[in-house]
Amino acid sequence: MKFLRRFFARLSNLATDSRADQRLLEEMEEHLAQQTADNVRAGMPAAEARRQAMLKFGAVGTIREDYHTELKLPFIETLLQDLRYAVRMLLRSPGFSFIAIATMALGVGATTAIYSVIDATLLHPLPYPSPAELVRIQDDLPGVGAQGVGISVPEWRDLESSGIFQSAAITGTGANVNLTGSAQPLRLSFKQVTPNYFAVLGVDAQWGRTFDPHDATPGYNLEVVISDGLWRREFGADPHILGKALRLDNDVYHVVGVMPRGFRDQGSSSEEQNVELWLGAGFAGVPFPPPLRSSRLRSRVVIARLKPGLSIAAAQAGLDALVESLKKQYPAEYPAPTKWTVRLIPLSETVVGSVRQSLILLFGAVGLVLLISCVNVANLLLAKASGRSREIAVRQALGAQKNASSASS
Amino acid sequence: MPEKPDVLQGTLALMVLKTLDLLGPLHGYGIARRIEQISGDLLAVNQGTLYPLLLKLEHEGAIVSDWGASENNRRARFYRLTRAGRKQLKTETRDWDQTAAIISRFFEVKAEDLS
Repeated sequence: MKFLRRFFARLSNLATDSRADQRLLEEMEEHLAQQTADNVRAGMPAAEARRQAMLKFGAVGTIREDYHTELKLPFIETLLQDLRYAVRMLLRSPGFSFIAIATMALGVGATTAIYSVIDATLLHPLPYPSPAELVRIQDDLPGVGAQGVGISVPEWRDLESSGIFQSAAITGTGANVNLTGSAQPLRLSFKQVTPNYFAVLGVDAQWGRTFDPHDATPGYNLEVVISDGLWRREFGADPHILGKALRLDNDVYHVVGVMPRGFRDQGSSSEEQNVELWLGAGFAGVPFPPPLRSSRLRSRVVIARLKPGLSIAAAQAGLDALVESLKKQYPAEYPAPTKWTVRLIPLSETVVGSVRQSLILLFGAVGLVLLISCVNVANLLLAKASGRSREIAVRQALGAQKNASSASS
Repeated sequence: MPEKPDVLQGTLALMVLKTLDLLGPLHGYGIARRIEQISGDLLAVNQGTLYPLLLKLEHEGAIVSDWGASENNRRARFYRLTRAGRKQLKTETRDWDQTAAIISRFFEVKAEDLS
């Protein structure tokens, strides 16, 4: 309390720059006059009386300095002085200042830019709850040198009932569709997804609902979920959007939900991540081919959420066992030479993909650039400082304190 | 001439407060003289050091100051104890008494008392 009061009194003195030093001078003068008068009364000659008074008073320089220290906040005062000095020095050699500042700015800017990319991709790749449980499931036929051949609907159902996953969803990889019937026709990107898609991601709609995960419609269920961006941009954030009919490539769908603001779909391309419409489909009836083991859904992706606590390796082992038993059960569908396998890949890998290595490398590179720019600026300063050694010597000879002269060097 | 002991900052503040408490408003020279008088000329205060201290006490709110006329009718700054200053004086006096009592007990104690 006492300390605070003192601090604020000094701060206000500093801010108002009040000349209270004048008061000390006046008081000192009065003090000396009285002491001199007393000395004279005690029988001293006038000159000696004055001299004795001054001796008793003490070193005037030190006292004035102490008084000034108490009057204001010397720490802040010196700081301001140094700042002013720094600005003056920068302005005195604008070329040097510009080069130094530009060097540092480039180094810092490059590092920040790459770091923000790394933060978004490597550190927070999936904006969904419990992202470690999310996997992508890929079917390979290494026997015939084919990768990512797609899944068939019966296989998907086997995965769903395998007990390894909380649920697995089939999704398209993004395509375009024409929206007609509104003020102006639009070409929008959409994805076909099985109705449990949003349950796998663990994200719910902000308005209405997503698809019912138990919906077993074989073809399109004629429901559509739209993105927050589309809702605001094309429908003016219409609160009556739910149930509205949209004509997409001449089929009529009904809006059942709006995804939350900032929701980004998973996927390896930005086009996939910026999808604005999701159509629910079972992939098992018209217009899709009949659900046979032999008809694989090409250019579709399967993503799934593992049972909680299950590691990818353990899940993969369970999946391998399932594949083996299916091969025995349907030898005609899975001929041995194709060596059908199913692979689990962490979903974060599909976002980051093969750029992980190059990103880390790039980050290292810009880190070095920052380091180099720091060294460069340090060198420049060193060269400048050695040029100023004369000035510093003069300052010290004139009585600058050690720390004051180093602060302004 | 025997060397006179320096006055520690803390005790000087206490002396200033006590002097103002006893004698009412005083100017700087008056305070310095009273302290010298009471201490029996033992404490030749480096009198000027009084002024930074007075400013500090004023900042802390223990005293206030105002211009007035001195005995020989010149302008002088008069210092006066505030209510907060009086309280501070009371607590500091108590603390000082305690410290002094402890120290004096140490001086009085004899070896046989501790056996």
